[in-house]
Amino acid sequence: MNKQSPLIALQGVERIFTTETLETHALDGIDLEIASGEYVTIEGPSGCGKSTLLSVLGLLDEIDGGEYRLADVLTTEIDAEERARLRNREIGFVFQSFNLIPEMSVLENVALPLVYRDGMATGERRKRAGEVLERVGMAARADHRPNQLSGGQQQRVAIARALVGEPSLILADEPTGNLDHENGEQIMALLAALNRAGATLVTVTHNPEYAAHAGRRIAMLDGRLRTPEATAA
Amino acid sequence: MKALLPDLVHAWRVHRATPVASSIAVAVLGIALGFMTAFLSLFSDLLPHPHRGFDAADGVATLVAQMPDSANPVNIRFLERAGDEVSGFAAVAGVNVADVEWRDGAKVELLTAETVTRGFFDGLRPRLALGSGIAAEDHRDDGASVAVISHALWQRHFGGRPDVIGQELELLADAMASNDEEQVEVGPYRIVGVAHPDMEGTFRSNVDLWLPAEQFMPKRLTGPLANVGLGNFGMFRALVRLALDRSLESARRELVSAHGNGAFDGLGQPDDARLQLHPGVTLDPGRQAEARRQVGLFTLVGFLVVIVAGANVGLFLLARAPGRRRELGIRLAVGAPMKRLRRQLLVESALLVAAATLVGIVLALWLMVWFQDLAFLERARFSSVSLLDWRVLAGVVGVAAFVTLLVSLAPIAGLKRLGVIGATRQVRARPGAFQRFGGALQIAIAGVVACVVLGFVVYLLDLRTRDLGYSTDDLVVITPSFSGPVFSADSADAERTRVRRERQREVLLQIPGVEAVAFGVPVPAGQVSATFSFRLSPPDRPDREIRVALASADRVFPEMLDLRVLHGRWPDVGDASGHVVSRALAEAVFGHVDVVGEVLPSIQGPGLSEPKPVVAVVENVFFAHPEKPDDPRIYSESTFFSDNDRILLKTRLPLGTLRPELDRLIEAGDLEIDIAHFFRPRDRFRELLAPDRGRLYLSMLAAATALALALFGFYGIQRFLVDAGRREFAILAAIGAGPKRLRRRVIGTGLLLGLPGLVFAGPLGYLGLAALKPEFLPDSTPALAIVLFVVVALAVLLVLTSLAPARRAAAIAPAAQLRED
Repeated sequence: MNKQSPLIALQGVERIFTTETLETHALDGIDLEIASGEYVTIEGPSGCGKSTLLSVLGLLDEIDGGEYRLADVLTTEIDAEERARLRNREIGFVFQSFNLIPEMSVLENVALPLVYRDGMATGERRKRAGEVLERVGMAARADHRPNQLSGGQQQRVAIARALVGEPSLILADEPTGNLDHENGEQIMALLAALNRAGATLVTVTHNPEYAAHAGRRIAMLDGRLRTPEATAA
Repeated sequence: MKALLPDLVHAWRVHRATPVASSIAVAVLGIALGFMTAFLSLFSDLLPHPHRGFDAADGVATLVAQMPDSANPVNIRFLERAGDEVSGFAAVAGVNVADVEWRDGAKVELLTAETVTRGFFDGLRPRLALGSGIAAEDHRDDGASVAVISHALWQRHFGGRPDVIGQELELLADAMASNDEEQVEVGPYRIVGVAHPDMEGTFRSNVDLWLPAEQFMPKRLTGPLANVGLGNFGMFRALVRLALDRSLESARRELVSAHGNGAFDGLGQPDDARLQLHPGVTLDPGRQAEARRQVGLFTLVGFLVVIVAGANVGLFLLARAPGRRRELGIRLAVGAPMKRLRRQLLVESALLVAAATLVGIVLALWLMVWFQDLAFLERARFSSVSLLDWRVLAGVVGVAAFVTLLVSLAPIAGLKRLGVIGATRQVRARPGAFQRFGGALQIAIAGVVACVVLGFVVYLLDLRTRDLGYSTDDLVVITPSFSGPVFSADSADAERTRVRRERQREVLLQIPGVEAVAFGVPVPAGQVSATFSFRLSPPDRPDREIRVALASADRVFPEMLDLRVLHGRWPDVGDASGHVVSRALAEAVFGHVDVVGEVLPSIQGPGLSEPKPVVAVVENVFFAHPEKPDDPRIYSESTFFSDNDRILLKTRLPLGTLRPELDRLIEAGDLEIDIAHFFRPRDRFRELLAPDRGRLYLSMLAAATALALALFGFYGIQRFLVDAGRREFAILAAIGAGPKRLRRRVIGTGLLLGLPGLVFAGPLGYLGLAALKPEFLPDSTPALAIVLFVVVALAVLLVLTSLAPARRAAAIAPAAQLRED
């Protein structure tokens, strides 16, 4: 990657949802650049397009217009397999509802992204998953099932899963939405610490208190970016 | 019942809400039940039933002289001896069927008559509607000409009037001797009785009248047969009435014991005939029992298909369960007891199964018409199929009840998980116990049935490609009508045979397109029983007897059939100094094949008593079914039955072109034969394999159904798992699993799901094939190879079936799935 290039570069990005009677512009000409190491929050009311933007950034959703470059790769020109590979190596997701797989143990959940990397032995996968769980303070629960953990603990596991592949970008969609205040604080502190350690972090949040942790706050309304409010990192 | 009504109404609404899916479920189950019902009906029909046409029909049984292939008819002396020797028989009688012409003024009607021996009317006691039966004193060649007519004939021609008694029928019948077309006037027959409507015939229905055999048959014996005497003609099927105090089993033991003591020696039955006693009235109990075994097998297969279909419909209901979870959850929340919900689900299943059973019965009515035409069933000669037989209906109802339980099992089991599922936001994407069990069961059953079918396919292919020891290319066989004396063993007759052959050959070669003419018997795919067998003892084992068959074959016969001479050379025309023997005879008598020069011991048969050296050994020939090895055989240019020679023509002329040419020669008096049969052996060979083909087609149909159902069910499970696990697939996509990975995951899950089925299909398929040997499949059937092929093929099919759900999984849009509800 060119040192001068941003990690994320969106130009005129559009995402349109069409039904029989309605056409909704979820993203309506988004121009956005995020540099490597930045901590950005996206704010806005429900239905403004925050989650759609995060899905587009995470290559979970395709765009209907414009350009999106991730780590200098023009994502509109790569196929589904390459997008999956990019997602696996460059992106870590944290969801509001954790999205852990209930039949798998904590360790297996965390190691899951490494399963989709060719050539890594099971032992190595487990070792790295164990290390990341250590970092988020969940090593003692490695053999538990997700439904045996509290919400905060499940989100820590989800963060560990996002980190295990050492991605350059972490995307968090309302990571504290299902947590109480105390757990929410802890998760946001954890994410901030990861950012300080070098990870690029993009979060969607409703909570201005948590948004204040970010280096840059982006507001959205009706699929468009409002005046960006830059703050010192 | 009142309490069930709301359940029934609701069940109807539930099924109506998904009309396509419900219709598919009914159709799937209906097809399977239809097959099973049809087979069950056929099976029931093949069971021995008391004949409704006889009084106290439980006491009437069939006496059979059973040969390896068929039941042997018996003669009157045999019947009389059976009555004398077996105290367990209160009466013994024989029945023979004959066509007679009835001249009613200017009108001529062809009637079917049963000629019956003494003991039929007074001993077996067929039911009568009017008058009396034929009296014992009329069962003599000088007895009165009397007849009993059928109820149908009475109604049809006499308007059901009671004055029919005493009226006369002017009858004509075919002579049994030299010329089939010769008719003899057997005279007026006075009607003495009318049969009960239930007495439509003894071994077949639509019989018009009964005549006294001892009085009627001698009138048909003309020409050389006139002096043979009726008592020596083996033409009757035997029936007995058991003595009041005797069981079938005790009478059977007595019969077998008398046979073992030689009581029936010299009465026209071969030494290897086994005397059997069967309950009820059956024309050919051996063949019927064989058909019953086969139909029983197919009934079992049908039942397995029903289980597959039932499992399928159960899975269908389970797949519909997520949509109903909310409704059932609300019912639970408002206080419905679990028992009540279980009943509701059971009623829903019962409604589906009831609809499917109706569809099945309608389908069975149609299927049975088709099944009856299948050769192996048609040959069992059952007269009617009674679908509404209470045993069949009871069986179908029992199976339907079982299927209802099977179908409702999965949804009812799912009730237990209702609370857990409702409490979690994650949807399980793992197969449940019923899905695993149902999937494995279906695949295992489909595998077993596929193994059986493949066994039949391999067998039939083997039959079709087997070296039969002859070639039938461009061959037509003419069977002339029986004529002249049966036995002719002197040399003058041999010369006469040669002259006759040369004369006929010369005439037949005048037909353009006929390349060669040969004479001989037996012929490929012809009636092998038309030949004669004798016994000889090997030189080194005088205590042993080998059954030897004879063949009449002129010099052209081996060339035309491409018989392979293994050793020596076929003798020249007129050279009767040595024997031509088959490989089987050489091995049986001498223990090796090259026996040219060895002297064959004398044989007890006309013209065979003189020991002669072997001059040629020919390869064995399968004249009949390829599975039926030919007896050790001696080929003779002229033997005592050479007058029964079949004529073999080498020609490419179509039969339709050849026949007029032959008729022209016959009408012109150039060819002095009457043609009884005229066929291509190749076509007859196809007919010989018809029962095997019938079995194959039926089992292919069953296998295709089972396989289609299993794959459909498996697809349903996979599709359900993908749909239920959309969230999981979205998570995997979010962390970097590409479409290929997701597809592989679905296919891998599918293989794991199918693995138990495959594991069971292997050994069960092997056992299934083993169980069919040797009765239905030869011992040489490559069971292991078939099983391996089926298991691999099933695995491939499972992968193919998983492709569509796999594509569906790969196409899941993760963003939409992972968005918070």
